[in-house]
Amino acid sequence: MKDLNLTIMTRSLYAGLLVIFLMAGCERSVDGLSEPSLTNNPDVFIDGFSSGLEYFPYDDGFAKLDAFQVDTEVTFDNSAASMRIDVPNPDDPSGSYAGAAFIDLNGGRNLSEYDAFTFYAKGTKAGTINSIGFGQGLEGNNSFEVRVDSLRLSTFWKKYVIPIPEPEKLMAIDGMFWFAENPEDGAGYSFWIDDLKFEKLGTIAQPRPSILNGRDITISSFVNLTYEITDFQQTLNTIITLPDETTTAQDVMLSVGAGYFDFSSSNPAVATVNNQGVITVVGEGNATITASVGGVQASGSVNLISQGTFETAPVPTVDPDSVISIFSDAYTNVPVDYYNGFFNGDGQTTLGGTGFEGGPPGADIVVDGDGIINYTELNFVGIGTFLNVPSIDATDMTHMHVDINVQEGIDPGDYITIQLLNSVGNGETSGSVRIGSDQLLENDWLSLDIPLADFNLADRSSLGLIFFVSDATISDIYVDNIYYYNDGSGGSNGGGGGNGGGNGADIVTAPVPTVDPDSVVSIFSDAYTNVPVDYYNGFFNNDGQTTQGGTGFDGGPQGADVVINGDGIIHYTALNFVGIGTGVDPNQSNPTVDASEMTHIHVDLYVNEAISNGDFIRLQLINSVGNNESSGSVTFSSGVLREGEWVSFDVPLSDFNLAAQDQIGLIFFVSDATISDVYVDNIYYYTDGSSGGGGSKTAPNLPITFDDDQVNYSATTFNGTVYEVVDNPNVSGSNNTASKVGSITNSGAQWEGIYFDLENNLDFGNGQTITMDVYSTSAIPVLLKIEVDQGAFVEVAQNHSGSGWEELTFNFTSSDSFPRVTIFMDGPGTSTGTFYIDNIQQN
Amino acid sequence: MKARVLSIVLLSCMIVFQACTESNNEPENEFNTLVWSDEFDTEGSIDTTKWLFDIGTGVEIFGTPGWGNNELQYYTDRPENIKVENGLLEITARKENFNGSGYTSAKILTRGLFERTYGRYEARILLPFGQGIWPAFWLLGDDSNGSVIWPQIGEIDIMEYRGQQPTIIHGSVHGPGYSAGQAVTDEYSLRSGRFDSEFHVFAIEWGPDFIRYFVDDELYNEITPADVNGEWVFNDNVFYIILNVAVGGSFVGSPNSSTPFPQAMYVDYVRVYAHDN
Repeated sequence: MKDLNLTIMTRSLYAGLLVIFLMAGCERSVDGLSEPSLTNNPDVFIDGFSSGLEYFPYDDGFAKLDAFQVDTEVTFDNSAASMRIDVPNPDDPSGSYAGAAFIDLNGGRNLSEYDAFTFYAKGTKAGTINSIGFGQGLEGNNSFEVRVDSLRLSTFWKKYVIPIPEPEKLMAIDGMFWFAENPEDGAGYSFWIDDLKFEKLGTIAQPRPSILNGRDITISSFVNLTYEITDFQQTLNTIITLPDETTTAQDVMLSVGAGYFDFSSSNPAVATVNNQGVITVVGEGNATITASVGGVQASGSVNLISQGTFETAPVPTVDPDSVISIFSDAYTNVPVDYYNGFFNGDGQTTLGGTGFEGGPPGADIVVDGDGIINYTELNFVGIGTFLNVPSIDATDMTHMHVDINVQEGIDPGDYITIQLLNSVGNGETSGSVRIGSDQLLENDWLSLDIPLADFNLADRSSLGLIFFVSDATISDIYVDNIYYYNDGSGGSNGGGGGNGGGNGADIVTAPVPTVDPDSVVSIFSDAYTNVPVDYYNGFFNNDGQTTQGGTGFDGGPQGADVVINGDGIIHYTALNFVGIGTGVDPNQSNPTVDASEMTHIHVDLYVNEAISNGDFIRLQLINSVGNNESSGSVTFSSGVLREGEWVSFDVPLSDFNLAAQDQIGLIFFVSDATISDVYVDNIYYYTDGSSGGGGSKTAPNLPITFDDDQVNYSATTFNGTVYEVVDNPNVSGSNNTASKVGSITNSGAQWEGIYFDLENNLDFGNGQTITMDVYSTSAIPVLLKIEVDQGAFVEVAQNHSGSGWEELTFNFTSSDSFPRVTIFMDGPGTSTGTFYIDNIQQN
Repeated sequence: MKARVLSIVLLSCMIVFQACTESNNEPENEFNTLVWSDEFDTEGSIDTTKWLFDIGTGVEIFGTPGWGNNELQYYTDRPENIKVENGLLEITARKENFNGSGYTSAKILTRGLFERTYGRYEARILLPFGQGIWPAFWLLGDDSNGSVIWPQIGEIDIMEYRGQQPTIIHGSVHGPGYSAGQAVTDEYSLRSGRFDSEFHVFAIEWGPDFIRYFVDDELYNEITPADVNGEWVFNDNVFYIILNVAVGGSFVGSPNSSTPFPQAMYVDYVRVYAHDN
């Protein structure tokens, strides 16, 4: 045995793995472990090594090989000897930590009659042993390993109890003891172990086993895939006797080997599980894998949903000579930095694309030799070809191909945006194509062949990043066969030629703003420092919003869907309306925009489609969102918008007729889908040096014409009415001048309306007749109420015949003066629709 | 019943020889006439000819929930909380929201069904585990239709236990001048084993001017009128039996995140023997 011991000593052991190769001819093979008549000797180290025990320091190159000594000076209870562990200083050339296993080389022992592993220990200081336990055996057999972490030492002898997770399993075990301990606070020290043995205490109870940290995991899977259950733990309650002879109960949590557990599959026709907790999917359907220790059910489970045999993506047929492949088993792939850049600092959550040892790079799953990427928890992920490998010159390619298989239900509004970045970090440009919910397929392959022209890249000679962006709308996808190719149409540079409409055209950037930055409050512009913005697309999908874009991409300016020559541009598509929020998202703490010193708002618009008569984009501002809010809008009609070119708009803020502009929370672009594809840039407020903004406007007095730039025509609405100042929509009848009018839209509620608080009281001493132009296409009563807030009032109702613009005359009998004018369109009724008012005058 | 006593004597001889020699002076074989028992051998629900249930939080009786002790459970008679299975009564405390309480459990009493003075009361019980679990096997004196109130009616706690101390039980009496925190009490600590991992027998032998406390037939305390700071109320009133598992309360403290739920108390039998003469 001496020779054998020496041989093993020199080979020693690997921490954690404990792989060891016994010399041929060794008498003691591991076969002995399964032989019946093993000793039940419980002693490990009492006053010396017990029979068969041997010391194996970890052979990882870091463990101090001579850290263990038998000490006859310092012992527990003045016995003959103890174990002393000398933990080295971190810079000790002979090793930086102490770690070893003690293994019974007599073939192992039957310890099934004991319930605890106990010892006395103390240290030269009150250190914390990193890990300690038993069950690390020969040939890396750790099935019955038990590990306690962070065992606190005292400087006096103290008894420690490590419960056996399930004694009945210990019919043959050779790993008697192991430990691993680093220096404490940068310095070595010594600790002693004595009376190390297994014993039957009879005070171990309340087993609470768990796997997977107690989590119930659901995995979507396929036949032939395997999974390994991890995190085997057992918690037991022990009784500790304190120095004063009183007892206390204490839970001890053990990390243990799989061997203590019994595993079970609810449906072995779908998934099987072996005695080490390795699950193999064998059929289609659902199976739940559970575990128990000694008949006690473990918390945690694996619910496998097997979709049966995995259907691989269609094998590409494009001639390899016409292909630049990024990820495909059908072609030779170009060198790739990574298939997942893990831009976690930018909020990336996406996992996958990391491959596994021995598999193709990036392939998380290999089925029938076909490597497949499985991105999970997807929000965005980048495939890089720019760090340590050449970027890709796709100038001569016409298309990008990718196969995507969505592993979850697809909801309306879900999408995956594929984005290409050229010249990453160095005059970088990017372009993207969005794959919508109507295209994506659940549990099936979608093969995409996207014309590269659709990405609107001016240059694709140095492609460095491919992004898949779902913004977490889709979280679990398989991806395969990512490659560029030329379909023979010659394509290449020059804007994608015959791709039709403005779609293929490379857009140019908007004019660079020239307003002095000191006079600007910028919302979205590369020319200025933008104020904090909650979002450039609020995705008010519950309100029927269809608009996409304004979401930006990783590494780019916030909100910029496209970056051209360093200029970020918003690209709204499927536009019906979209909001840019400032200080309105409760999950962010951005301030609202104070534009009270500003006179104008600037925005550049580029309509990326044909414009028809009646098309429009309305720009709407909302101040004090949700809290006595006021809103106003300005409409850009088809006459001023341009297809395929930038138009710069500079709109006086007074045109919005806001009650205030000191807390602007939302900017809306509204097209009602008349315009669906538009680029937006340089959104900012500025002052042109004239008098300040709407804050300096005066409240109205009669006559109210809606046309005086110096008057703030904001009105307070109630019970559902919507009010704004608009151009006279129907120049006719009693109001046949093109001017501003008030627009009142009823929601259908009773007693809804608006009121104006006047700058000066309306004094009936100056005349008791008030006339008002009212536009209605239905016959309704119009009620004019002149009042003090919650006080005295006079009111007169007049009927409107519904013929369009009519002048109504209200005759009051009062000589008092009042500060408020309130208007009800069909006050008692429930009419819906839009009415207009103008020219409210006192006669 | 001779056989039972013999086996106990034999057992105690084998385990603690010295206790056996002393036992010649112990009156431990005076209670041999079985007068009442529930062996819990009928599967299913509780024998309502022997037991009635307390339901709820005690708010109707005490004015506030908690059965006078700030307990947290809602007592029910549902099988989730109380049933007879495999020859055992099983009272299960659960962590669940129920009628405004965060826990449920059960409590049964022989009030009005079986009440007497004196005797040997014993039960074989496997106790639950965990911080804040408070099972008990106890007797309460008859209140003469409400004309006498606690503690004047008297209370004999044969076994009380804190789930966080699985090797210790407590035996107590409460009466006028020695109730609640001033109760006359003693605890018994197991020298090996645990109350939550195997069955143990809890008993009192109660006669004129004495109540003796036993665990596994080991006498660990005797209480007499000399020990109480007030009137001895255990010689003339009749008492009924109570079994319950409380959750939380002033005796045991509240459960915490390490308390495993559900927790069950298993009772093999409850037996009452009268004195031989």
